[in-house]
Amino acid sequence: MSDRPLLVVRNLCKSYRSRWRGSAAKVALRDIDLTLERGATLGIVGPSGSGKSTLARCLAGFEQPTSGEIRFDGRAFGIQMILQQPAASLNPRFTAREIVEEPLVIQRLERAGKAARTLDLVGLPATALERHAHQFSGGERQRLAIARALVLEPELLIFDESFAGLDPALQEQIGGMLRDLQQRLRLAYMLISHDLGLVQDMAQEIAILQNGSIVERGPTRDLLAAPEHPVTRELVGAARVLSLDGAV
Amino acid sequence: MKYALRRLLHGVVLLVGISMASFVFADLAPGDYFSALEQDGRVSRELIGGLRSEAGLDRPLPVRYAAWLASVVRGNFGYSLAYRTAAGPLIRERIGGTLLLTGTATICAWLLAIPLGIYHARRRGSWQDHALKLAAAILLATPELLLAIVLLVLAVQTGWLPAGGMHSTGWESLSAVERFRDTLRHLVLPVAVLLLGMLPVLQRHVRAAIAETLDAPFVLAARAQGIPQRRLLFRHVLPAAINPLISLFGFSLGSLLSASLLVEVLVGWPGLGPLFLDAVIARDFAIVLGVVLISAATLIVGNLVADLLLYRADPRIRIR
Repeated sequence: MSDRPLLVVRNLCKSYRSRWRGSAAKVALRDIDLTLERGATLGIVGPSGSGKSTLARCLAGFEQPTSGEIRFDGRAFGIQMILQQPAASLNPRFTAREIVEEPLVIQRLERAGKAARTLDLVGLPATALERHAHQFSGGERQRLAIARALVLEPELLIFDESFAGLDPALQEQIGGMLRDLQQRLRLAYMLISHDLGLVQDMAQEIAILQNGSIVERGPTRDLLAAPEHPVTRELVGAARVLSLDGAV
Repeated sequence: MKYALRRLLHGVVLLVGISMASFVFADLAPGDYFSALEQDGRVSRELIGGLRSEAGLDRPLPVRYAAWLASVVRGNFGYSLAYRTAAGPLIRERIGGTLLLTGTATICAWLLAIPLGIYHARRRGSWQDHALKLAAAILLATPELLLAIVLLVLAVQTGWLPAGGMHSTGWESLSAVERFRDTLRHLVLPVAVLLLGMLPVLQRHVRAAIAETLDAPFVLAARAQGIPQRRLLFRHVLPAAINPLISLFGFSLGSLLSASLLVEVLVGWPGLGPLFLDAVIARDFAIVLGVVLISAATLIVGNLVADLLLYRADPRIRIR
């Protein structure tokens, strides 16, 4: 295995052409630099409209960056994304087996036994294979969405606001499972959220995004202890208020 | 199976209710088949009274309803005073003509609406989308009556199509192939009128159902896996969008006997339409009630078929 970082992003820019001729293009991302090691977790935090989702979509290949470089030192399909509201991203007519096997069918890969093994990774029993998506609980659907991403054996998982709206106990459960998976499979995670509190427990490093630029970046502990940029301070403050609420 | 039986029972109860309501309403309408005679000074009141009691019209309403219902069950659908025979065979003779017309129109409308609706949904916001929307709105706003008259005028002016009826004169002497071609030529005009009436509605429903599904998160997830367009459409989008379309299809089936009544009268098509209109004008209630009851039964069966199809198509309904 190479020592090079799994993902290197240099000067990534993305702008959307305006619908109306003459008016300025909208800049969504400006000179983004990122590095992510194998098995590490990076948090991307910023207010809404800061370009978080655009960054995720560029990295996952849904969108073409306007300029810049994305160097991924992994296999094809090595980057998988878990969408916002993963539960809704499951086709309600499919069984768990069909959902998990669909990416394999599409890529014409060997299927035998993979669905059951992948469900086992996310803590779902093999008996769940023939159940339909709508028969699972919210937490189970979350696991199923992660299983679908895992079946292609990725090296990097991007979570785009995937845990927003989950109750804290469920967040804790899924978080524990993800840490466990990270150790066993040496997965890298990119956690994207508007809520610093949601990522601070898992991410070793956090980058703060505002208006399409990274305004502050550093190890999670340093960033929380001594936030420099006003946006960071605001986010840290909000996270603290929330955790105090939880404690009371 | 239990589900199907329950729905069937429900349909029978509904049908009995409809039969009672329509019988009572027909009775409430002023006048009967013999009212026209009252205008004629030469016919005595006594004679008209005698004719009424001979036809059994002087019996109390529940008795008449029971007698009619018994006749319906035997398939006679009461006695047509105008034709002096059972109404059932008269209606049965005409059903084929109506079904040929509406069946052809409905099949063509669905075959066109589905690809058009999909095309439409995938080009939301484009100029093709707006052009189709405008065309559909214009067609929706045009009454069938006007459409039929315009097409009839065109047919007469150009001489390309026969201007009415189902067969040319001398049809009996033609060979089987020529008969088929002749009927086909006669079908074009009324089918076109019906088709233009149905298409905008169906097309819009298909567009709405597909457009909604295209935005569903699970479709985005499937796209994220690099799914080919065709597989996305047939495996993910169409099955998920099919529920409202199945319901609409049931309605299409249900209106097979009633959709074309007006058009049939306009183009002189030998179906239920002219028979029904004449019966209404003559107050020949056995035929009116018979057509109403059979149309209602068709509607109920159409909905039943839709429910069973939904049951098969959607695992979420099956579990409940």
